[in-house]
Amino acid sequence: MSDGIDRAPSDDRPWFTSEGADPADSDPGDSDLGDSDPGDNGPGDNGPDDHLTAPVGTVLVWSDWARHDRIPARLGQAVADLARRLAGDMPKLSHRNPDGQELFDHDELLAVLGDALGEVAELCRRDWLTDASLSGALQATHNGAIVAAVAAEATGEEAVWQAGHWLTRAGEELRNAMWRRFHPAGDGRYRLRLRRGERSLLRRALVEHRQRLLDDSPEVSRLFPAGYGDATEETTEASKEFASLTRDDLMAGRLAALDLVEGSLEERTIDGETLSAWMRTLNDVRLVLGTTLEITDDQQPPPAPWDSSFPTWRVYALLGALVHEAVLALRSEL
Amino acid sequence: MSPTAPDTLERPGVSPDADESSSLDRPWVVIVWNDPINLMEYVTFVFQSLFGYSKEKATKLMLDVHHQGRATVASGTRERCELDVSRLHEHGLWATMEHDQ
Repeated sequence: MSDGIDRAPSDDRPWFTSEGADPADSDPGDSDLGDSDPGDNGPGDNGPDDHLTAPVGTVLVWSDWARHDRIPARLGQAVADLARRLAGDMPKLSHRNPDGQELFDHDELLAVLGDALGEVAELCRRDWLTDASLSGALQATHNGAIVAAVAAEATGEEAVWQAGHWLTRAGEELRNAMWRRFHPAGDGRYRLRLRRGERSLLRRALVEHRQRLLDDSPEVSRLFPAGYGDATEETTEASKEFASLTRDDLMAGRLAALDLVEGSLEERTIDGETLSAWMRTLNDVRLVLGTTLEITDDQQPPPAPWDSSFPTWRVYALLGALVHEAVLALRSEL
Repeated sequence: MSPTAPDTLERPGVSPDADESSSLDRPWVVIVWNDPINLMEYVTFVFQSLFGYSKEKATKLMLDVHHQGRATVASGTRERCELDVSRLHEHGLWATMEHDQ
């Protein structure tokens, strides 16, 4: 640019990918490493090796092309320049929220901006974002963009406008990348976006689950409770009759749902019936694993990583997240 | 039908007195029991989608299950309740039926 101002790129290649590394990525035999659904994340998203050290709970990483175009450094520079400009000689700023309730004076605006810029600078220094830091980064870009717009209005300076554009774009990119694993596509169908490593973990868990169902192993008894409470002679007899009427259908329904899930593991979009089968099946597997883990309290802390039950617990925790997100997606269309 | 009938649709079999054909019998009730594994929002969603309950009603029933260990989520004829119990089992909820006390 002839005016020397670095402008935020105007193309729509995503800055972040949501396939953050989970511990399954370090499994060298994981066939999903290369085929993690890139979704709209562009062709550059194929460098998992860079992210192997990302901590558990990582949800976003800078995309390969964003690194290539030095987006983190350029965003960092833009906000650093903005911070320096605002610390200098400025017209008095003020801002009233659209609801008219809250008025921010000059010093308050600078304080809000200072916090926001610190948070964004931190984002630019990091390779990844965890669930815990994501909301802070979102708020920071949102607040930063508003104050930058107020300052740009007051000064009329192009560089300040452009810093605001950088922050606005960063916020949009964060929000876009936050898409859940099941996302309503708007036509009654749902986009399926599993994170790297999750498909193979699920596939294994589903194969084991099918075997347990076919073997009618004791662990699956949780899925076929008695129909009548209070074990008296009368209710035990009634429960037996209830089971003879319902159990075969229940089992057939579970196997059919399992077929639907396994058959759609590689799909990018699934219909509502299939998502409902995902929700029920993954919840079933979670119930069985939770029973074997002897979960007796919903506040129970996870086992230590060296505990023999830790691998099972990790699948259990993943299933919890998936069921939660399936409910969110299905509920939005109720 | 009376012209002053309320415009709120009552799901047949949900209200205990809807089951007038067998009014000599005590109605049957469907109980959902607390368990430490099922997610709260999942249970709420199942109540909404199986019984057509509002989010508020489904949430209240879920919290009753959670805090009191059990809640009556539906009632009606024995056949109706058996169907409801099996649908709840299909969704992994721990449900039983019993004669209303």
